[in-house]
Amino acid sequence: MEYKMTIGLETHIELLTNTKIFCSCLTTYGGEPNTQCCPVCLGLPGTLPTLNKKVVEFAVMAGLALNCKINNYSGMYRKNYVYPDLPKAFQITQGPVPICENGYVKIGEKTIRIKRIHIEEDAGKLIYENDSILADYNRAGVPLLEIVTEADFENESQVRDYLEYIRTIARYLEISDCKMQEGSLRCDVNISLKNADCDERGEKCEIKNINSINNICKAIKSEFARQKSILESGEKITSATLKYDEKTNSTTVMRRKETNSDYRYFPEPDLPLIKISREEIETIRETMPELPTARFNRYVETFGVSENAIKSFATIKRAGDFFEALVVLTSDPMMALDVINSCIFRFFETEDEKYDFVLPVQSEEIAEVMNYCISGKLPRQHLKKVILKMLETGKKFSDLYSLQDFEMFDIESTKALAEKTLKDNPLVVEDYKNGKKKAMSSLIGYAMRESNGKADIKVLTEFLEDACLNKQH
Amino acid sequence: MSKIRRIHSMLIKRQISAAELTKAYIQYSVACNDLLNAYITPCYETALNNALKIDNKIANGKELPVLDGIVYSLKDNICTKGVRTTCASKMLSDFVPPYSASVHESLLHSTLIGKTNMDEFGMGSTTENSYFGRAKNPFDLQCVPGGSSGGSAAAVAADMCVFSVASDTGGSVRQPAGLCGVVGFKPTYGLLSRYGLIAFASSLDTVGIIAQSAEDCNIVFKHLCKYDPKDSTSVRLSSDMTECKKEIKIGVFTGNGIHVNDNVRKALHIAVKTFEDCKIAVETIDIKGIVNSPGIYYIVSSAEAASNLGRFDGLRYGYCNNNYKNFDDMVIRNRTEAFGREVKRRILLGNFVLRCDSYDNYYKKATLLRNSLEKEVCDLFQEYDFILSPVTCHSSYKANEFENDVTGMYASDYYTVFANLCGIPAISVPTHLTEDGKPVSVQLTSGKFKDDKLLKMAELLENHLSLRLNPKIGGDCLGI
Repeated sequence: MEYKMTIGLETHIELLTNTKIFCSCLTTYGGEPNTQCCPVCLGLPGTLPTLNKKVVEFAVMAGLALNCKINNYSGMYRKNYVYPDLPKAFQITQGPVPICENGYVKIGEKTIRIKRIHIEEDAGKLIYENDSILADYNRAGVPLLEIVTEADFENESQVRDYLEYIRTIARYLEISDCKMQEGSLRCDVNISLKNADCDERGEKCEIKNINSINNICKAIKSEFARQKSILESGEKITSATLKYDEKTNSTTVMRRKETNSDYRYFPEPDLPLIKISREEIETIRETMPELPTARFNRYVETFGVSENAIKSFATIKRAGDFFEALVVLTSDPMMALDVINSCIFRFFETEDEKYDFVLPVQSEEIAEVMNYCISGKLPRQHLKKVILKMLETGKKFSDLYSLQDFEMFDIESTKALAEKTLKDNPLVVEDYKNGKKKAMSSLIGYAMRESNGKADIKVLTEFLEDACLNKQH
Repeated sequence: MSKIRRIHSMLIKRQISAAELTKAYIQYSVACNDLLNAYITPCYETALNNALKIDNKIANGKELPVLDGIVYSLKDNICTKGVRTTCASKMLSDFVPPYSASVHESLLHSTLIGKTNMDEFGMGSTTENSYFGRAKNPFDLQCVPGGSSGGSAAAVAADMCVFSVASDTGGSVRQPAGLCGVVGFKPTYGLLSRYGLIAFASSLDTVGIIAQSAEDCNIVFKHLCKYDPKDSTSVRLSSDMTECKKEIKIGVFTGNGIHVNDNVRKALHIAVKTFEDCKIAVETIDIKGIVNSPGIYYIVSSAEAASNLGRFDGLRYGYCNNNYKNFDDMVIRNRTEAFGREVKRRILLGNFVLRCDSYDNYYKKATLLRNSLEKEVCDLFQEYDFILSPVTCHSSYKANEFENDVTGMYASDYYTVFANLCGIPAISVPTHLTEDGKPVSVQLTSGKFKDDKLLKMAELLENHLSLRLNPKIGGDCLGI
């Protein structure tokens, strides 16, 4: 009996608004506990929510990027339940009519349907310390978008591609930084198995609180195996909420069934309907940042760069911005590409660092060095070394070097250098004459060391090769 | 007629200082409160401090706005920064808010003399559901002052303060005002900010004003009526919203005599005669949707209340019994020990009607009926400028009257809840005293945003009747 997976995802992304969804507290991550709270987000008696307009704008942007229909009217609802991280004992979320619905995402050949995108507030965080449970409400009221797909995924590889795509889009639009380890991207997985022959889907199970995309993929594989073995032994699947244990690579039923309650949803009486007109939607569409695919295509067309060369940073908005800045300042897209791929990206260690793209030097300073190359004042072979040094020290060119350091040997000096090299390395010359092409590299290396890199490699190589040939004669 | 204007005149003419005025009210309040239990938290010291500031202002020749230095009270569900705000509940008996309600901030130059007694969290019609003991009716200490703003109505009737700012969710300002012989005004929903009013039923709660005359209610209303960005349901009033026809027509609704006794019938008769004497057209009308209105009200208000009161678990603030095993146990202990019976009753009812298996039959149905009632009333106000009706079904009754008859108590809201369900302004005005010396009132309502016209009509009625009601306790602090 062959089984196929059907998977649906509920993804939450924390929005990068300056302030929370219903009050003016800051949303910055990692603050001292309970320092980013006020009577409103703490739900003190008598306080009322007021909606942050930026949240609506971000939701519309996400909806447009994911090909959704944007509803002109949508309402906020109360989801009532009791838990220490929920100050009002209800979460303000949306109800049957969300702000965006019926969109889609193309992952290669596969289309994943987006059922809905809605706005809601985050709860606080619970910290378990010795025997106590401590509540930190800094996160309570941070705006979230919840993106719900239909059960269209067939395997964990599609899930990975989808999540990476959502992350790329959100980062491109600058609506969320989608860092799973910081909780600004969270994903719950709904998975059920169906018999490969018939179309009937089995009971679904939900896996929550998985902290990385890799673990999501592992959890899916693990859950597939678990459900498969239950079905193969003739049993039925009982719908449950599970968590994924990294250490044992297994999915287990959670002790506390949080999703079992009746949430007693009803319309939020303290907030009017969210109204957004067709004109407002068009304005947002027009002022939205360019999406990765569009940018990718534009670079290929405008700058004539190869797809391979820009693949590495097509998904990183700030890298593209930097690339364009360098092009404006130097008019040399190929050199700019090279600088980004070989220097800038070597400087960053992690994916998140690449995304944050925080450099110790400005684009103007990098462009200055590039322009020296273009004008011939700095030999091309030194560009990479110089830029890496600048990145390492955070200093600009004039604080590290002067152009005189790079003055190249003139023709006479280069010729003399070539002759000295040949004279000092008779054995290597022999090897070269006997057919060992690699010996040339040794000769060049020797010459460069002797000259402290001031010889022009091209000219030097020509002299060395000619001299060897000449001597042969 | 306007006490506020008379006192203001005395202040600017230096016939009395703010300090003297305040001291007089304090002395009067101290004596009355022992008998009436109108104030949960008297604020005598801060009141005197405020008075001194006002006297400074007067001494410096600065212009004095009409409400400066006027002594007032606040219902104890309106947050006052640094001053205990209890909602008459054990749950909040030690709660000191770190912020003030918007309406309190608007009255910073008036002199707050006390936080008034009420039914716990606004749930009740007698002020017997108070953790701090019941308040009494100044006309008869055996009787209730009404609720839930019973403390406010008693304080104004006894002249322990010149006016009181309270809240009206289903009649909580109009009914106690009616039972205490003073004027109770509930504005259009959204005109007065709810920020800082501890929520009972969010779509029904309205800040209201109790004073000895409609004219005084009007002065306070005009001062408090402003758009508040902290309240998303706040409405900006513009002149085109308040327009009225020239020829006035009043519809009289008596509910076919259901639930009213002879005293109430007499009150209506007095009012109708007054309007007819003033050559205003009066016609009998029927409002079909009102028969369902108590049912709609108790379903919607209980659902919203159950949700609003969910936050009271004792973790962040409020009552906490420290002997608990875990979080769930803590929540259960705190809420069981610190909520009164009526509050528990409404929370259970509210959670029931929101359950997914009852939602359609109760909450959703109630919402649909509410919408059709709103439409029916709105259509009536196309033809009639005001609707005259009873406020209560009878004059004040003895305490414990409804002890074993909860639904009977709920049914007595028959005439007041529709104003909250429709968001329209409403006012209760006293018409006479019964044979045993208890006040009876009538209610006037109008279409949304016609608050000013409604208040003017109430003023016409009270000027015509020129009533002077003398309660048994207090009633005339300054002897003016």
